[in-house]
Amino acid sequence: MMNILAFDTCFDACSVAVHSAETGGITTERELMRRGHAEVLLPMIERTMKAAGVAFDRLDRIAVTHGPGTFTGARVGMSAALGASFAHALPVVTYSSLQCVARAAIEALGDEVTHFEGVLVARDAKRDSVFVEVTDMAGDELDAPALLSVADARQVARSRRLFALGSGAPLLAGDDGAQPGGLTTDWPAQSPLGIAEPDARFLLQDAASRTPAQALVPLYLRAPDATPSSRLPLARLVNLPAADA
Amino acid sequence: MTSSAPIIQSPKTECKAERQPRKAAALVLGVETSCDETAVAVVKRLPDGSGAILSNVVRSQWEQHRPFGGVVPEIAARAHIECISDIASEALKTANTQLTDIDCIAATAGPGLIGGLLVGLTFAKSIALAHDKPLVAINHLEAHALTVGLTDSIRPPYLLLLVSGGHTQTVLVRDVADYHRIGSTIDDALGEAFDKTAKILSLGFPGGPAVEAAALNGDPQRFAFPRPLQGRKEPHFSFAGLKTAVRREAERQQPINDQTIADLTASFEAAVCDSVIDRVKLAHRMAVVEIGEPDALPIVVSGGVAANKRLRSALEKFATTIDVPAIFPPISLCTDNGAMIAWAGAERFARGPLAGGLDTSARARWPLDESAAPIIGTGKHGPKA
Repeated sequence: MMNILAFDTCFDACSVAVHSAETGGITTERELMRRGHAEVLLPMIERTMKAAGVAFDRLDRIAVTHGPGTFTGARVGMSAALGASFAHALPVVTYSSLQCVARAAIEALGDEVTHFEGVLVARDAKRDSVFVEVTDMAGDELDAPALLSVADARQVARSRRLFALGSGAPLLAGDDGAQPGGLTTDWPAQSPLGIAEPDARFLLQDAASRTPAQALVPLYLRAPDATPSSRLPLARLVNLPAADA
Repeated sequence: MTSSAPIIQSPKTECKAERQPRKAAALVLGVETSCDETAVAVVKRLPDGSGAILSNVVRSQWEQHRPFGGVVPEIAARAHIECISDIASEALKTANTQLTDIDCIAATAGPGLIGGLLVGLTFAKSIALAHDKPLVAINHLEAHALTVGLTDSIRPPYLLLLVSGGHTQTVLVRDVADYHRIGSTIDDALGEAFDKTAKILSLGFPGGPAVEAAALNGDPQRFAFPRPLQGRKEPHFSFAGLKTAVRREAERQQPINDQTIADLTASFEAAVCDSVIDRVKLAHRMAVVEIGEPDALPIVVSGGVAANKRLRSALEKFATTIDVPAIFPPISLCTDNGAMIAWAGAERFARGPLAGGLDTSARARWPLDESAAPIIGTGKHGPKA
């Protein structure tokens, strides 16, 4: 049995879950929010650890979602994980935020899981693209998280009999509005508030047995927006040796 | 204590009675990620107010930003998180210490690029929580302002000239935590003007050293560039027009050769020096009036542009003419670093109750002097306002 601290700040929620080796119980706190994760996360960790009765120097490992997410959200969670890991030389296990959501969906589906071959979590990533991940019905990764065009994501959605959720799911219906066989996209709207947002408690399902991450860097899946300077250089008679040579 | 520097007692000593100063030596870990340097340091502050740097690890990211001719915020934030843990490990190792021996964790909370600030601040918060240590959220400008206390044992009051890539201001440092901003840039920071000039002339990035090297054999009088705000009674700075003048002249001189580039950059530096000296002269006069000290109020110069030799010697010459000391901390402590953050944290820690809990926000904009009125009419936004 391990003492494990888990948290997520990738999208529109901030959540912390602590597993106590002593009691075997899980203590959680979660708040839906679009902004303010950086201010809320550490006090939330402090409260949850206290409520769980677990001290930092008794932790065995950290579990954290590393992305995809908002760039800042993914970095806030990873920076906190890096700090705690650095403070007590703790191993860190990382999860995709989309896998975390898939697990929540599987729990909520209950007996209905038998109707599907997998869960597709789709997050609207704007610019005609979606973050997509497919898991099996145990919540384990089938297709690694990826940033796909809406067209490619539609192909994925039709590849299996999938249960789909997330803000990108409505984009996956056909142009005529037809749903691919078995694909359910309207479910999140009828589901308990916030099921399409990650919840750190689902990381605790297998955090104890997962292999710790080697590189603790966020999973952005998208390059930074930056274009090299396009202004033409001045006409020169003689070239100075380049300053950066 | 440097022998040349007169030590002037602050007139605001009555504030100190309310504080409960800590008696023991303090070991502080400082984390800086506000722009394009990832930096962590360990600094010790002794009860007599002196300090020592036990480690000061800085990793610059300029290689990653060079293709863009300036700092790209998202690239900066990504680069910080990739190395922050390694830099922190190295800082502890070099200082031959461990987190359990640290008394306080200090991190830059602003002003700066928000993505990077969040990395360092969240990392520091997490360490503070995990080891139950106090966290101090540091204003980056305050850290620059207090560096001379660490390096030269200079105590307030003094006039600070801060010239860097993100900031250009004059600040009357009355005491730790007691600042009055006198002048500030109404457009570009001075370091920005150097970067942009370098970019116009394809000299590379970062622009400061590139412009300085190019200007070495140039004629500073060949081009009569404007001396922005010279003679104006508001003590502010402006460099956007100067940069534009350099661009226009460079375009007019096309095709340009090495000598023209040398003359353009030398003339640019000459204009910068004249403008800065004029502005500092005014700020110093105002500062002296404000504190009512007729005697020498030292001028302290910090920020990356303090490395520029022409500006340095101009400031030294000016200080001599008004018979005040001009103090330049070592260049490595003028540019962004963790030691100055740790030191500012130590100065705060030594004075009792700390600002900055686990819910502290990073602030892109955070004037050192919160009571300072905005510089009206400049249309200025962001950290420079």
